[in-house]
Amino acid sequence: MSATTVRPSAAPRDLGAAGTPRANVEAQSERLTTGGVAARTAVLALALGAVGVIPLLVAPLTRNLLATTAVYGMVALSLNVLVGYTGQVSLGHSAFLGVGAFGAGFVLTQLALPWFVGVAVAVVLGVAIAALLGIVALRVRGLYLALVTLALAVFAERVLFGIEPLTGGGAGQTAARPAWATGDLAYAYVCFAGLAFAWLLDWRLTASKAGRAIRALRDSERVAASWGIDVTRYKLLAFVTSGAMAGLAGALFASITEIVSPITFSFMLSLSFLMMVVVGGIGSRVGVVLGAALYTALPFILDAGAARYGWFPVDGSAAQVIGALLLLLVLVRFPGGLAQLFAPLIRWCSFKPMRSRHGAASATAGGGSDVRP
Amino acid sequence: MSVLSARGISIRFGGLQALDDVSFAVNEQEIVGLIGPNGAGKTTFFNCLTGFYAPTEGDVFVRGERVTDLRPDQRTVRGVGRTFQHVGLVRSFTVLENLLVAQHRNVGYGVASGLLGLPHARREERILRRRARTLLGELDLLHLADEPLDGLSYGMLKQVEVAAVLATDPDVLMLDEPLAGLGPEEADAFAERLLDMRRDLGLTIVVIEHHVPFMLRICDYVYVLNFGQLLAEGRPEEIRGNRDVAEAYLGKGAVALA
Repeated sequence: MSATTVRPSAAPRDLGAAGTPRANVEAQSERLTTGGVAARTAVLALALGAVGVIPLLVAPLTRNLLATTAVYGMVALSLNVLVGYTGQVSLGHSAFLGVGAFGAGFVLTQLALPWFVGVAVAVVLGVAIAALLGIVALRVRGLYLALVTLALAVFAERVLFGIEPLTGGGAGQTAARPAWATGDLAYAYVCFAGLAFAWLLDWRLTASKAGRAIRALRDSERVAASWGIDVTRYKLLAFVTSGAMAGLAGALFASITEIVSPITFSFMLSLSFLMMVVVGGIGSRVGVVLGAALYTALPFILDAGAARYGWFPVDGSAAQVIGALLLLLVLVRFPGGLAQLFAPLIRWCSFKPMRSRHGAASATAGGGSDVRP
Repeated sequence: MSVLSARGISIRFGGLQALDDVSFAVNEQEIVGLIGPNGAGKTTFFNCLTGFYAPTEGDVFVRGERVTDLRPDQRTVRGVGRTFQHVGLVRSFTVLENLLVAQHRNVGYGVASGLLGLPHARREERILRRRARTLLGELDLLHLADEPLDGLSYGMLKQVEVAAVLATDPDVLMLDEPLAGLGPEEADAFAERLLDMRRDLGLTIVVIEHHVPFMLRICDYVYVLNFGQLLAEGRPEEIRGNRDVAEAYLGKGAVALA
């Protein structure tokens, strides 16, 4: 190549260094005993079964609450992809959810297309809005990106969801359930299936190269780029994954009450999602879903307590105060959230030895691997 | 053909001419040193070579291919691997996880197969782990595999960083002050290790370092930068006796380095 600077190769100098002996590198991964594997499988199967029968056990009127919990769990997982893996805060998830819900409602009611089409459209819309935000995130990050997402949430609530031909305006948009799941019980299971799907997607993301690349970006884009990671591509992938989960959640959410109205998707809802993630444990699948369950159910649990026991000090109206206090408690005392409290249990359940050289430390927020199951 | 070369690199930051018409070439399996006083532009030059800065003028070539307009990750894919002055590692990962991410460009499965958990993707994940452990073993770092980075000393981190860059499978290994934080014996061991790596892995190595005796010992060829300009270049014995270089380092009147 004549264009490059050319000079004769300098002969390598041999300083007579002796080759270093190669270390023996037998992979010494920690193995579980057969009994250990069996015990973990049994416990997980029991837990899964227990969650699976909850809709059968609760009072019929509570089934929609369970469906909502599952949907909010999906949103929490979606938000966790951004907050936990890319390290960016989104206050726009109420808009993500709303876009999915209104999209599904429009397809189901105005176009009278089958339920699955509505779901698909909701996912596509969620991906689209998240991709837009992702493009912004390539330029703006941290607090400034949070402000952009806040603007998105307010814009969606005040303007976008008020366009009457699309959303039905203040009266709302109807969104019928699929013909094969019209009952509350059946629909609760549909929402549980959605949560399971989002969970699996998140698990695969974190267990494959894409998730690793995304989390590496969060720490240092320079280092990630120097290791051959395309920063733009993987940042957008994170946003798109988050948007797909939220869009799907929106479609399921629309048919819980079968009517979607703009006031539901207020900016306060975005704040609740963020609290679910933080209190549940940033970066932890189990944690954020528990956080979602806690915040969704809290007002109803308090109400039930107040109705049943005379000594119960508060009712459901105190849920917001208690939620905020919980947030403070977590920020000050347990930065790893609920996931930190259950860290040894979560570690055991993810088929790792109870006691490794580093104890359960790697499962807490402090050090080591920051993806927690 | 040069593995890595640059022609007429200039870069300005506002009123500061950080680099002025610097040309540079590294041939196959050479160890080339870049020395110069503080602020001479060594790291800036590294950043131009690896794509973190866009030079105002000049071009960078990898094996004859012009890469001036390519992003850092695209240059990494072409075989340019580098370390950073302040340890380029992912802080929240364990040592092993860092090496897993670093192998990114050599992961054969696509994003979709990874998300779907297809068998070939999972098989490859196991291979990645094994490769990472093998590499750690070769650098005597295997005992650190599951350690978080917080607990490691600066010298250890520098070694893990080199392991991570090696995991990207580079043709050219570019080291920015690799001796920082190492004691004299560790520095000696590191020099031996560099020579071994060159011989065993067929690596071409570019080093920035202040430690002149170390550089004169291991380098085949040395470039000297001063105030953004190429002050001298040549084989170590030529640089050792170069009056300009001695003056730049030691002040007026000095006649020879080391």
